[in-house]
Amino acid sequence: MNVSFNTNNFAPQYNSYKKTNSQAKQVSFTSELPRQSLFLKPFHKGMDNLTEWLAKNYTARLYQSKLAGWLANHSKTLDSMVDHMQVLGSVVITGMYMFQTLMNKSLDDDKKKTLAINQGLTFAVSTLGSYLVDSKLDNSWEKLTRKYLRASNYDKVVDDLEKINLDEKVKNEKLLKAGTPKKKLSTTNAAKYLKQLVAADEKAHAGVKDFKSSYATIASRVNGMGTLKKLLVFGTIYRFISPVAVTPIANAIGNKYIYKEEDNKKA
Amino acid sequence: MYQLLIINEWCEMKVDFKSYPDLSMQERLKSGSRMHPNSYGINADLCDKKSVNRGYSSGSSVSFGAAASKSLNMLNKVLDICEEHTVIAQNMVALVLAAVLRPIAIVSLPGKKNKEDKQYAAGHSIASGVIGFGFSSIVMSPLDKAAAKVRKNPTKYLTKNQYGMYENVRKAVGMAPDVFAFGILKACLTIALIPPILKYVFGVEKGKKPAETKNVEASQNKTPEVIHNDNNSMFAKPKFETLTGGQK
Repeated sequence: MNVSFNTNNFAPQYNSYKKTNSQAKQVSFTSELPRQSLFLKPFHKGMDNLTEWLAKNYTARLYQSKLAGWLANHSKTLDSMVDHMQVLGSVVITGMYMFQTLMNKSLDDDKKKTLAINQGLTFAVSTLGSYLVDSKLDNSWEKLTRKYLRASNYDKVVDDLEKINLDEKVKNEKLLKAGTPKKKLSTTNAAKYLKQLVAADEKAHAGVKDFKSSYATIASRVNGMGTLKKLLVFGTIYRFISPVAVTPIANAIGNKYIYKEEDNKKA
Repeated sequence: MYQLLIINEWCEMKVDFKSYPDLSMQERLKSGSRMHPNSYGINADLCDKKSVNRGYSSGSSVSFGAAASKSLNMLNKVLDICEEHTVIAQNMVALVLAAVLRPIAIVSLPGKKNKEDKQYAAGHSIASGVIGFGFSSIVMSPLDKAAAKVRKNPTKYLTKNQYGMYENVRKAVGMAPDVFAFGILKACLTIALIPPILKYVFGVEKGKKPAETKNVEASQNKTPEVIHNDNNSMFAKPKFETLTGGQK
């Protein structure tokens, strides 16, 4: 929508003048614009060869390995692997720092243990906090995802999804009234629903070569919303909140013990 | 005068989305405001907005539709990166947090005694953010592209046609090298590169003062290399540098 404050827009003479002049200034360019730089062409070619080799010899092999098969079988119930992979990454790095601390010859045994326990505890608290915040944000993030879907012209998908969840709620209430024991309400989220739509689309067009569902792109982006949430939550807690929160504690310990010891030695 | 009257009239208008239920968000935004000022779902209080009300008629145009569309496109790009290049997205988030927000927060914490420790921690944080992002972008980019090739054409690369099954572990497999193989390497690289980054990029020279006061006589006879290798030199680590937990 264009909102213009230009008074000249109300003058028809100016508009006609502008129109004729802009038409006169237009340059007709029919040739094809160069898409890729010739200078960088060898680099792109080399990169293409490298990625081709990696796809065949690394990615494909890794996907077909026993480990990937085992992981696929054991992760069917998980919504996402991003959070768990970030925790694993933190396990590796914290473990390395703890090992480095314990192997440090310049520190006393007591100090080594204190530092290593501190590092381990920081990791444990950060991990628990991350999972807790992540689960608490689920509902708000789902609302945000639906807003995003509506803004991307997928109002019908959101309406259908809301109807499915409402039906499920009504069904659950009826079961409760009938005397069946209380069960956790199974709600469908946007990512799950879009995945179902893509699967249904692909099933319906099973014979069509190179078929791509019209929901494929938005399904991928909605998955990206989930990934973004996990990256923001885990990243913020691991890389911002816990290190900043630990700094004053570390400084206080440093002031109390180490600097005090140094002062005593000097005295 | 005529224009002022129009603007004044327009500013008092209230809008109602429900009057155009059959239009999508983008269509509502794109619909002409001059024709239907009520059609864009917000209170048209343009006169109160300094960014919009420029107070003169310069011929400038304000396009809400274009702005909304731009931010949506940007969000789409971010979401595509999150889904397709998760490792790079993870390191981008880490870059913003570790290289910008964390140093600011650490340096602005109260306490004068540990000023040098705080500077070192901030420098360490910036170094880890920059190295993590740079390393992952360079090393993981070809791996990501290779994974994208397999994902787009599974029949070409996979002998077993079970890509649907591997879709579950796609992210885990994609993130595995960064987490396991390069995680430790990145941490080592960060530790190794902190001193030069602190010195040449950030200008934080740790422990320079004590070195000067203690070794005035000794430093006169030493070469610069010898001074740099001294325990009390600018490269000495603070006592509690290793205290911060989680991912560095």
